[in-house]
Amino acid sequence: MIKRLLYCTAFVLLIIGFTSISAFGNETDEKLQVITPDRNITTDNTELMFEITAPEGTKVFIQVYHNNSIDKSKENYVVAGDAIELEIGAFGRGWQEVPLRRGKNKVEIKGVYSDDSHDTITRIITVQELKEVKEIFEKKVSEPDILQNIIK
Amino acid sequence: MSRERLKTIVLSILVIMSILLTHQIWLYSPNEVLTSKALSNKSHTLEIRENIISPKRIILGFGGGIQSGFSTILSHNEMEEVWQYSRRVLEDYFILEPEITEISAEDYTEYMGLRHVELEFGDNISSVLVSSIFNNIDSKIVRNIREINKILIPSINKGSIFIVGKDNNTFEIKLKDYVEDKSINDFMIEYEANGFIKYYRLFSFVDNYTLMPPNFYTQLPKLTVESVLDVEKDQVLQHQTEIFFDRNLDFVRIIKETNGAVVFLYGYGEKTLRISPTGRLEYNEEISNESSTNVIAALDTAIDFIDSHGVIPKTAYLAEAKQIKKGNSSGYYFGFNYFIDGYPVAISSKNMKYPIEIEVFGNCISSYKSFVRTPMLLPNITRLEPIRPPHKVIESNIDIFEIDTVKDGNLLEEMNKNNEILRRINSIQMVYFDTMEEKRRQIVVPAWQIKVNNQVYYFDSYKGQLLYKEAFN
Repeated sequence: MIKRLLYCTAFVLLIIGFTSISAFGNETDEKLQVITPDRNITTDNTELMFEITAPEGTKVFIQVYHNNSIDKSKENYVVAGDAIELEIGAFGRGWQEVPLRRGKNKVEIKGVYSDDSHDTITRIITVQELKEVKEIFEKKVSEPDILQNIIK
Repeated sequence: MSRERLKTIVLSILVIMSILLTHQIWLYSPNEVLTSKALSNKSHTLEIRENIISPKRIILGFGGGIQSGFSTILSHNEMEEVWQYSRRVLEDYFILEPEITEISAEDYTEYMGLRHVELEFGDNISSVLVSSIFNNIDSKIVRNIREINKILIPSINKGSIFIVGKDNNTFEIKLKDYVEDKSINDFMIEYEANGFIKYYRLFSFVDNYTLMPPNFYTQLPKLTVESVLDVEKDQVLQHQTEIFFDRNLDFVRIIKETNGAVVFLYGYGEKTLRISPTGRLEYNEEISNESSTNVIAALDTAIDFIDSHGVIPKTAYLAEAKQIKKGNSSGYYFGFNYFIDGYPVAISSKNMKYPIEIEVFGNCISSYKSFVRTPMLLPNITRLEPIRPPHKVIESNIDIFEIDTVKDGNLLEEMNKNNEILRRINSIQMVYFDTMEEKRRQIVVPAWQIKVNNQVYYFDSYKGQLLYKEAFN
């Protein structure tokens, strides 16, 4: 009876061991990543530099969609310009200046790997004039709750 | 009137004339005439010297931080205007008594992230040479900083400029009473409004802040150039002998080599002059116990010699200065480079580092090498495909860089090998590359010059293949 129990425990432990090993096999280096910009941002730059990492041989397609809706509650994204193609070489890293328009831009970065599987990362970039960006920032900082949080 | 009276009058006039003329000869002696001629010669040399001590590169930084901001490297005509504004700003710093403090390299990189102009000078340019432009060789900057490699002028000038000297020692030069000069900032605002090639610090992910353009949209043509000297023309050769050997043609022996080069030997070989089939000139003279005391006098002597024996292109600048020794004599080596169509020239010669090289010992020139080409008025050969950006060129040639990195002895694992190579790249620049193969006429191509530690590589900017590489010590 005890022998059986021991064999069972050993078997269960082995299974757990294997699953944990396969969990570590998942490396983030093998996937498409957008290093810059690392999140959705607001900028005054109409040509924004994107820094992308992906395994060698990945073909990256960057497509910009621009929100041309005048209605502030609705969003209507239309294609703005041709897709930009970028091939990732031995460095595993690529750089591309992406032209943007004033207002909201949705940038879709699609990486097609050498095995034809693909990943897409999206960034929402809001382009505003420098004065407007400053005003928004000043407004946000002057709000009492935020100030209190900063002081804390 | 009686005859006697007339004779007296003529005689007295003659006496007075002879006194006056003797007076003229004795007091206004030829010395003065000669010295005034020498002065006008000197001011010509001074003029050339003030033009030739100029930056080899000018970078406009548009702010945005050191990692994500962009800059641009100016082409030659843009450089002239910005150098003019910069000299106006720098004048007070070189004439008055500013406060000089040493700062860290990190602090300097902070300023590189703000809007600025960065002037980069040649190698080993001593501060006294830069200071001489402002007619003050005894300035406080000269007393405290030996060499000037770069000068950074923030575009919103708050009374400070920054100088990078020898071994990357960095200094802040502060003036208490400064006059704000808006010309640089105004130029940058106007410049930004038009299109220009943006340079980013793409390798900042490995802490390398070298600037490079992710795209280079200007279609630079291949240019046809020809050497200033034509070795096949007898009149040219004759003219060269007259210039170099003071018309003492009896003592000159001429040897014509099978490859077309011509060698002139003067006397027992004390002076030799060789002109290669491509128009490259090399002059050597034996010197004994001559020494140069100061670098400015040596540079003036060098300029005088080149001006009277060769060609100084209008866009020439001092690319390198070095102290040298030959037996008991001590002197200076000067290397000059120039621009073709807005971009600096690069040559592929094992003999010469720069197109114009000269060694000065006191008043004597021991060696002078010159290989100047001028663009021909032929239609340029433009290409249809775009220029490959340098990071793509490096990527596709990574194996070439690998071999030379391995020679260094530091073999790292696969993952970090590429990063280590990228970390070592310290300069990327567009140049017009002269392969020096053909005869007098040559096509020069736009090429990427990439410097890694002490190696220089030249890659064709359209096709991306390696054209030439060389190690420098």
